[in-house]
Amino acid sequence: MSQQLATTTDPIQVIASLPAPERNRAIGWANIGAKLWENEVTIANKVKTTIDAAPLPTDITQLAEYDKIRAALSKTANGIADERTSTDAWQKLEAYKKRRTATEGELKTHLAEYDAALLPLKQKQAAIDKAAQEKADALRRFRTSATIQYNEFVATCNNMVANKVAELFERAIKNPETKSIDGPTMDKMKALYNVASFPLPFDAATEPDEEKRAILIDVFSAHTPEQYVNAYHTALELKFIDFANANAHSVEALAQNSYETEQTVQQVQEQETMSNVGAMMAASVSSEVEVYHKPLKEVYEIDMPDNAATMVAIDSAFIALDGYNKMGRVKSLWNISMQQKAAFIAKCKCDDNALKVTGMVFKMVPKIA
Amino acid sequence: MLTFTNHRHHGTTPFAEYAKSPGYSHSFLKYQQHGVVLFIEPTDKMRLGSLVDAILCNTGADITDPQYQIAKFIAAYIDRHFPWLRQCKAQQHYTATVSCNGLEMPIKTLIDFVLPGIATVEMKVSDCTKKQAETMVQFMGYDNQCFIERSCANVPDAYLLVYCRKTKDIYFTKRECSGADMWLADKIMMFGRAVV
Repeated sequence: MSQQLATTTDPIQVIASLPAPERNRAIGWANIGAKLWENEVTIANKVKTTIDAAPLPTDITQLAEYDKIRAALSKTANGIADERTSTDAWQKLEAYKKRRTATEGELKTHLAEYDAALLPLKQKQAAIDKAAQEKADALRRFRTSATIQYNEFVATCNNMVANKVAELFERAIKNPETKSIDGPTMDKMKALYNVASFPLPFDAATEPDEEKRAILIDVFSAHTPEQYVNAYHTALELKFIDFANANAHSVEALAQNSYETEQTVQQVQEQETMSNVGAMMAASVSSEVEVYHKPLKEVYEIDMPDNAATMVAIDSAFIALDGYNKMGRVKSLWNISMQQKAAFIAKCKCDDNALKVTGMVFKMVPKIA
Repeated sequence: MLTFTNHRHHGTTPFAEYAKSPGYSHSFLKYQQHGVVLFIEPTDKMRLGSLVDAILCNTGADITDPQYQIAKFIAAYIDRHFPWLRQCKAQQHYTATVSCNGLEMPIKTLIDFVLPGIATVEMKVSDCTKKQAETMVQFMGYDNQCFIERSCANVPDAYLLVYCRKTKDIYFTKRECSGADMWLADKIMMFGRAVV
């Protein structure tokens, strides 16, 4: 709509300067405005006249006259609104308001239709997200299980070393021909274990699932057989450093050997337990699959038939939950409806999932957040 | 930037005894103003957290406290969902010396749960929801506390367990503690002494 800039503020001239459709519309509104004004003045005058004709009663002897005046006053008061609403101008105004709100209402209608179309898509995505979360949780559990398996393997390797050293020592002490441990003998003992003695318990390549295979490879990549071979050599050297002295006190030496082996095995077991707890700790970390949209919120609604028993149950639950005091912003407690009570009860359930309300049946409804 | 030395493990220590022991605690460093910590009357929330700690760590919770039943429920919930916590050592007292730029400062910490050589676990009870938990953790600066605990106990990982009362849920995370070293370095500048 193009408008010419008015060079005057006189409304008559402004309207006259408008192009035809706008000028006619402006004249139409001006007529409605004039009629509304005329009606307003008429009614205001009538109200004033009626009030002036009905001063407040003061004389007890004039009661019959007061009754007549009151009847006329009441009749005018009850009919005055009709004198406004029945005019053509007012009805045109009402029609205009209705037309405007209907246009704005189209947005709300479209929003409802939009939500109705969006909801099944979000529900589908929620199912996908849930599957992804379950898979992530399963992989996390698998990693924990693999780590525990690895810890068990580490413990086995460490026990192998401890037991072999103890066994060799015991054999040497118990053999009367062994007086000392020379270099070649020590080398022979050391050669009993090499990197091939500590192979991984399985081949990760045999795991058919790609992600699980990657986890297995990652967890067991920490395995270095050389560390056990080195530990074995070091333990041997330490055990046999004082062999001549131990041989001279064979009983005590054997007892000490058993004790040390027991201690080592216990430490290995404790370390395995701690490492397993560490694995469970890492697995407990809160981790949720990232969602790129606003997820649906699930709200509780009361799911009960429209009958007297339901109303009684709602009233009872409302009182039990101290609804009259906790409901919040209400214009008047007199006006609280059953829907409002039901909504309050449902909100309490949403706030506390574990809430159990006798006689109430809830259903979970997905809603767009 | 920061170097931790003189790590010492003092075992399980009652809080009263720990409070009197030498060293700067995270609590002091956090709340001090010009070297003084004003007395703060323990609130109901603070007492609730202490009760839960005491029940789980078995350090003697006051059974007559009005919040005891609530604390007991929270402790049972945590224990049910994290049964491995029982394998950890509770209320462990550690000290160390932290150095930075020629200054050093003795620090101490009383850790809720320690898995020796592996990790520490710090426990909190909060009124937030699980979704708000990370924001709350950042706001309260709990990463600084986790950093000190991890460093004193000389373990690679620090975890934070937050019980969220509003959603009756647990927020459990591994803390990277980024920025905590800068915070501690700042405190060393205030309270450290020159290394001779």
